[in-house]
Order: sequence, then C-alpha cells, then structure tokens
Amino acid sequence: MKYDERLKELREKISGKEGLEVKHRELQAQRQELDSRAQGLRDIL
Amino acid sequence: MDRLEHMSLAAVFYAAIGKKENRLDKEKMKVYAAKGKYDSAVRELHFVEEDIRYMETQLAEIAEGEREYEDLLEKKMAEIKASHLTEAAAILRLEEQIAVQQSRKKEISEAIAAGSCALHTTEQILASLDEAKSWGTWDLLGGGLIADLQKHSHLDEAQKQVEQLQSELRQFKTELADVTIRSKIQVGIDDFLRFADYFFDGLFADWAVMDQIKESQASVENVKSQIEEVLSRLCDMERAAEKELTALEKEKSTLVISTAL
Repeated sequence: MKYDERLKELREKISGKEGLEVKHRELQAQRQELDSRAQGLRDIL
Repeated sequence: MDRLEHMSLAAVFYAAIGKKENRLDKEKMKVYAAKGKYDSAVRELHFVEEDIRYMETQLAEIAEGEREYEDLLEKKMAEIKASHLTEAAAILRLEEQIAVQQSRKKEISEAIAAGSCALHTTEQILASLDEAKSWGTWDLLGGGLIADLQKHSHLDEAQKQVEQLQSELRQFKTELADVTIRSKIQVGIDDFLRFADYFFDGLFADWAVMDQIKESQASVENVKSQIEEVLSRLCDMERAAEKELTALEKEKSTLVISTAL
C-alpha cells in the first residue's frame, strides 16, 4: 500500500524508544553516582 | 594532587616503595588508591555525559518520527476502512508486534556484544597480572632491576586495561538496563560501576606487591564470572526472542497468503 514502506521505517525507529528512555534514565543515575563519587575522592586527595 | 595527576601506576609504586623496599606507607597507599579511583570516576563521568547527549538527540529524532508515524497511520487506517479488508488491519497489528520484537532482539544482541567485549578485557587483564606475578617471583629470586621493571610495566598495562574494562562494564550496565526491566529479571551487576574501586583497593590493600597482585586477580576473576553468568542468561533470552519473532513472522505470512487467496 501507499504508506507501507515509510511506515515500516518509522516503526523500526520508534520501537527503540522505550529502550532508549530506560538507558537515558540509567545514564542519569550513573552520572549522579559518578559525580558524587568523584567529589568525595577529590576531598580525600 | 597535582603531583599525582600524571603518575603511572609503576611510578606510584616507585614513589612509594623505592627500589629496595617492598612496603608501602599505609597513609600513602590510601591516597594512591584514591587517585586511581578518582581518575576512573572522572573519565567515566565524561563518557556518561557524552552518552546522555547522544541519547537526547536520538530521543528528539524519535519524537519527530512518532508524529509522522501517527499521521501516516491515520491515513493508512482510512484506506483500510475504505477497502473493507479486515485482514489488512490484522496484518498491520502483526507488523507492529514484529517491530517491537525485532527491537527487543536487537537490544539483547547489543547487550551481548557489550558483555563479550568486557569479558575479553578481563582475560587480557588476567594475562597482564599473570605476567606481573611471574616477573615478581623472578624479582624475589634475585632477578634484579629488569625483573622489577618488567613487573611494574605489566602492572601499568593492567591498569590501562582496567580503565578500559571500567568503561566497558558501564556500557554493559547501560545496555542491560532496558533488557532487564523489560524481562523483569534480576542480575547482580550493581558492582559493575565500582569495579575500578575494588581493583585499586586490592592493588593497594596489602603491604607486599605479590599479595596485591593476587588480590587484584581475585577481583578480576570475580567480575569475569559475573559477566559470564549474565551473558549466559542473555543468550537464553536472545534464543527466546528469536523464536517469538519467527512465530510472529509465520503468523503474518499465513495471514498474507490466506488474504491473497
């Protein structure tokens, strides 16, 4: 049908959204942890 | 701090133990271990910030794609209704399920690739530590300056590999985040972000270099077996996802064939 090819492309792109959001949250948590750890270690040094 | 900034691990050892003494001052050890951990945390922080920026660009592109998708889907549904083909709507639903399953399989494969990379690096670290241990033994038997230099050169190599492993473990943890949430499985990876800490603690924990190498080997062996365990579960998940994908594609083909008839 008329829109099938473009729909397929977009579907593939969109289907990764949930995974990316989870990874984004995970990275923000990692940033917070690393930031506070670096701060603590800097104080020791 | 500034003086420590550009020191390699071998230089740190030499500064602390000299060429003859094999013992470190406890206070100095704490500072040297903290220096290793600090460098690792700062480097990782930089990578995490880069990854966050990349994710945000990707999410913005997806949001744009979603708007276009909704728009096209509405047009397509209107065409389906006009054609009175009920099977077309079922095929569309199946295509959506297939796309979700493909994305899930891709995420599992990415996690496997990240884990395999980290696993390979643990093997390289163990090889470097083994070399350091061998030269260390030779050094104890009177190997002299060359044995001493070789031992520390392999320790330096191990340190570089640990820095690489720390990055790879962090990436592995990120890749695992969505895989584990979607599958509702628990994997013991909380320590992955702190691996370098354990390594540096091990390396500076005891007074004799040979014991420090043993401690470090133990922490690398430990993380290696954790990676292997997670990888084994991921491979099971990948096989299950593949099976489900095949079933969905078969269902779609059957529907397409019967519709054509």
